[in-house]
Amino acid sequence: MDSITTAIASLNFPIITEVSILLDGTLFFGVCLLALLAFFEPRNEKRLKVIRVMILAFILAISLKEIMKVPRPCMEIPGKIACPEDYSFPSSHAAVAFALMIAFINKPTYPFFLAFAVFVALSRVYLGVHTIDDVLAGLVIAPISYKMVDVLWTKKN
Amino acid sequence: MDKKELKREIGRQAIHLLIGLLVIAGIFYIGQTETAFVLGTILILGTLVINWKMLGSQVPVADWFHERFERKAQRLPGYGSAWYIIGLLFIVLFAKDPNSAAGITFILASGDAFSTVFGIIGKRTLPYNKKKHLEGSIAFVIFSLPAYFIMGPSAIILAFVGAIVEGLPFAYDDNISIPIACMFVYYLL
Repeated sequence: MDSITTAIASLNFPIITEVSILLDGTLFFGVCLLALLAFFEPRNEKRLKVIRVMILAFILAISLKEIMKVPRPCMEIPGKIACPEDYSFPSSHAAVAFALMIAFINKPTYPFFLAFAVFVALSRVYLGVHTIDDVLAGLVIAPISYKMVDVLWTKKN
Repeated sequence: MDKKELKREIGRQAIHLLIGLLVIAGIFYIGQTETAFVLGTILILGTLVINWKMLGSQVPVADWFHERFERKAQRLPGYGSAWYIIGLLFIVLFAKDPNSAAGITFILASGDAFSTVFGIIGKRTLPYNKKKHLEGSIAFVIFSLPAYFIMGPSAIILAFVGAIVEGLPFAYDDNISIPIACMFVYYLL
């Protein structure tokens, strides 16, 4: 395992662990994302577009997991939570969080969404269920998903 | 294109090439993961700068680069640069080993840079894209071939793949379409 992943995973702060475990839950994470989107983006059309981007980012991430077949780091070294049974690369949590972040790049609230996405990404490494490579791949998937939806959205309209 | 614009474009492509070479150096000297981490950090910080620029703030260093090197027709500040970093990050993360990461990075950095310059001064358009020139595509292949010394014979095929994709009338930036196409073909080989 690389030194960056090891360094982050070796940290131990109870409050960060609690929040990270909450965000690990798919339902809670999904509700969080939708709530943030609903609260900070007033336009229904934009909300719909961002939901499509997040769904696409998720689909790309889980598809790539099955293609790349990289085992989770917690298979080697136990993490702070039970090791998920699926593959590691890329992180779908990071992909979706970064996808939401990009939607606000032209807004004053962007720093908040950036901090949220970075926290989600690093929390995955902190819990020991992903490596830093996995979450960085999420950072790559997000703009690609955004662009794909943008192109299709423009063609449709 | 006038002389001033051409000079600006050459400067832009020189930086494009230089950054690619720095990434290659990073892959071999500090490692793929560490290089990816640096690129990811630059990308994250870069998006903050883009946000500030879009909100109307002055960002001295970014403004200086934008004035001198960014294309005037670009709709968003830092758009091209961001896609280049995303493309480089994609290569470094998805490549199986340092040699293939460095080789495909070289193809993106060198091939794309020289194809742009030769394409500007080219005369014959591509049959599938009237906005691009044959001279540019040929330059892409020729200036990508040194990747052979980094990653072996597959570089020759990837040079042609990159040249074809670069010439296509895509809605997607070359800096991401070329890496994705090259990586896809590389995995098939």
